[in-house]
Amino acid sequence: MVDVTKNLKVYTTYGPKTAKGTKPAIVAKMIEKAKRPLFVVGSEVLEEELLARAKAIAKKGIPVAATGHSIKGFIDEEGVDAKYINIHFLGTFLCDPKWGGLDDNGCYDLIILLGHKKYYINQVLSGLKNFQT
Amino acid sequence: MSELKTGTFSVSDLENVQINIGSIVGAIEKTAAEEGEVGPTVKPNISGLRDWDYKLLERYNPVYTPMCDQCCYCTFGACDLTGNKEGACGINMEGHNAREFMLRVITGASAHSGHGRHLLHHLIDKYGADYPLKVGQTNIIAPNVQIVTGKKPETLGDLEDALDYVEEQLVQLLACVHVGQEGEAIDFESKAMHGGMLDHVGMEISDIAQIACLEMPKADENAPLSEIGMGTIDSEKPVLLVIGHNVAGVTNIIDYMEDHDLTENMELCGLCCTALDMTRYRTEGGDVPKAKVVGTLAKELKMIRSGVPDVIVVDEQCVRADVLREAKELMMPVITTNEKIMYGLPNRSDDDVEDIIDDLKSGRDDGALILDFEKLGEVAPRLTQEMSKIRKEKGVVSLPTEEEFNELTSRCVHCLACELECPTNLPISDAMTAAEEGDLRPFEILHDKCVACGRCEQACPKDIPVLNVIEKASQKVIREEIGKVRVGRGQISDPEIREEGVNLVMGTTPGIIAMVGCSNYPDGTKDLYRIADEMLRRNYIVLMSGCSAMDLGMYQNEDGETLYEKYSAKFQKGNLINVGSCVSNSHITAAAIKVAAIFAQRNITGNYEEIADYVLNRVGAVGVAWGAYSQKASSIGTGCNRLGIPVILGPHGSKYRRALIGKPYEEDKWKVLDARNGETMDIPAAPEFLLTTAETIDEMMPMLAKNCIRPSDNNMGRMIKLTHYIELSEKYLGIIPDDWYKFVRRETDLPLARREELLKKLEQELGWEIDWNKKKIISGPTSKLDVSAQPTNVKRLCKEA
Ligand code: SF4
Ligand code: SF4
Ligand code: SF4
Repeated sequence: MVDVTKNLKVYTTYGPKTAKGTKPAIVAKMIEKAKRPLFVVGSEVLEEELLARAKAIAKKGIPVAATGHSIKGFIDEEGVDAKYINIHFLGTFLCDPKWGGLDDNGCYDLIILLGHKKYYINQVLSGLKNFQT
Repeated sequence: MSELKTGTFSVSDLENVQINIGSIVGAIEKTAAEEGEVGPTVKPNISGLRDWDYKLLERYNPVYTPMCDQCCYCTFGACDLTGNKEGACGINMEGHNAREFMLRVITGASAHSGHGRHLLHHLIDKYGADYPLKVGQTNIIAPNVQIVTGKKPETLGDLEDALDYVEEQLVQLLACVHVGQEGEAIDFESKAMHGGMLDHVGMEISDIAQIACLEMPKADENAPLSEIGMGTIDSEKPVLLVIGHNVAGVTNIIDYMEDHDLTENMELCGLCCTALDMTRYRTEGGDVPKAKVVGTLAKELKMIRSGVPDVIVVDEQCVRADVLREAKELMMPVITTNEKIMYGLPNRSDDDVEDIIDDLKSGRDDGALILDFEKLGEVAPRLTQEMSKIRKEKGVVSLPTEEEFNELTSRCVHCLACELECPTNLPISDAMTAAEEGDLRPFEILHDKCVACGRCEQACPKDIPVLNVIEKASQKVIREEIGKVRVGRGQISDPEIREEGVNLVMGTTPGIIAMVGCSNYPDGTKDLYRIADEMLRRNYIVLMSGCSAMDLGMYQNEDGETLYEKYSAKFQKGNLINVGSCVSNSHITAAAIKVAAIFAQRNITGNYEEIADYVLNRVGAVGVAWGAYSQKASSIGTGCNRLGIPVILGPHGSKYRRALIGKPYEEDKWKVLDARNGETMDIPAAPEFLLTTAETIDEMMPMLAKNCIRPSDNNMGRMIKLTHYIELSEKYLGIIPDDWYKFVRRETDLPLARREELLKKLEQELGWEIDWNKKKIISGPTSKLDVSAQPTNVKRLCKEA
């Protein structure tokens, strides 16, 4: 597997606490350990190759929050549990322990992101970084 | 009041003190006599509408997305506020970001009000304080001024009192930014709302003053069309480019050009709102615009780098800080005309015209500050003619030649540094590769999306002037950039509101989509065309202003028509209106206020809360600032929010670092009172935000329809709105929305053509009881339909409260 941490440029919120690159195996472990993971995909996922990967990940049984108009790529897809939500709303709700989640089963403990505009998701993550409880 | 008389009196023992009560008594009597009923908040101070703000903020949560996790406002810092920690002064991340947002709002409001003050001074000087404020067919000359200050201005001079109030309040708000005072985010939020409201007063003052004095169209549904686009400029002629927002000085240039028969011999063109206001100047009654519009701020650097302008005149607000440096490279003298931008240039306001022209054309000076508009009127066009000859003789070239272009594209090492630096992360590297192979199309696409900020060039380790490369590659499309924009028509007239008000409140006109703000779009200018085209086909009223109004005019439909040519500019369902420049945004809030005043006969004088409550619950309007970038856009949006109008921003808008988002799952937040008896009514979550962002146009389309839904919709209105919500969701997201049923109060709310199908869904998926013989809903809906209900969020407005 390619070492994605090499030559990685982190495009993240400025400040004392920024994102770090990590190895795919570690990410996989984190997902495995999570009780309520959520796969958050943006509209840029609609590009063919990325969409195929997103579907493959979703089919592992992780529910999908389809933001922007990305839901278009998941309609009638067997084995994929995808729901539309606006990312700014999602970022807000994720900071609220009272939120019931997309399926009324409670809030999430891990999010996986793919296919977002960098500058936009950056802001959403900045909200989460500072205000999640 | 009757005991007070106008005049002057002295207080015994204080012989030297005289108190002049003429203007105070006069003003009070005038207000009381002319306005009749006066509401409870005449000239509210910072806390005057706090209760209303708190009501809004209880439902619409401030959501902070900090840009930077530190605060460095004072020398205690820099303080790390991550994780909502407190800084050395005790403020936390929420408080600091609310403060930051408020600062943006009052910066924007100050820009408009400062513009208004400058314009008002100038116009009173020229036309006199008694000059009448004629703005078209209306009895409510200044709805925003009236609702906030309790005054009904009739002359230019009357506007000064309202502007004094705005300025005083802005100073008070700015004082709150100082370290160590306000600690609670919610009160910074209320203050931001106050600043937003003041902004609409300041904008209104600016615009009605110029409409009245500068013979601009007056609530004119037949306002003429103007040419727009870089392709409309004849570069063979001498070209004078004007950039900014304050048209005052430019009117002297236009007059001079006309008086000296220069209009045909040279091009006068503009960027940003000055351009729009130039086209409004003396077009009352349908006269031909006297200047051309190049476009928005995003075209500033492109236009300068094209080398086409011979002279540049700047005034204020959205003008690049490097105009002088960029222009100098291409031998374009720059004239600054307003104290907000002076670029370190010598003040030549008192100098002889011939001396100024000599110094500029010889290159002794790169530019001049000229605050005397008479002088400016003569210098700018004369200098342009001279410079055109000189620049042609010298063969000033700007963009790279073919050979240079090839060398530059092959110099690229595809390191992607430029793409990371680009605010929109545009795919520059791939475009370089394609250009090397002779395919310029990727650069042409990039040209439309590029806001010409120049950041890519500074990032490039190979010193490639990326913007010049983009522009060189896009010469063909630039030549074809020719469009039409409707000249700003100003206010919505009383007769129009009288006709259309009922449709808006009942919902049979599905809503107003107000597309405002700047040009920092995520995916190019065509986005605006797509939104307007879709919503106009669906009979929404589409209002435009500022940079958005310009960009919309850049696209033609299959018949070669712009939407401005296709749709009438009357305020009526399915029509397209350009109210004007940035300061004309006040006419959008004014239209909502006038619906309450004219259709519902509500008193608006000093009665902000009641009217905002009316608008929130009954006027289905949504603002769209798809490319918002400036501080002014945040103040315009926040002013809309306090008045109960929700606003959607494009994804860049997340960098304002604060949104106002409701939580539809908090059921207790979605209730209103019925003013007839004070009883509580459940409502669906719409509008579900006051300020939020959308990722793409496709996502935003259904959001627009949904957030035009209001508790006051009658069943025909709700049916129409729900039809659009469902159809737009199906068209752009491919799904029927999850929450569509929440807007159904009765079977008659359902889209007519799909009633049966949707009744089945209600029964099978949601367990609602349906009487299939009568095709009626027996049980299920959470909100009820009662057309005579009076939805309100303000208890004091309820009869039995
Ligand atoms: S204002 Fe407060 S948080 Fe900001 S630098 Fe000063 S002490 Fe720190
Ligand atoms: S000039 Fe255009 S391409 Fe370059 S960084 Fe700015 S927006 Fe991106
Ligand atoms: S920064 Fe310069 S060298 Fe690197 S990809 Fe961009 S244009 Fe090419």
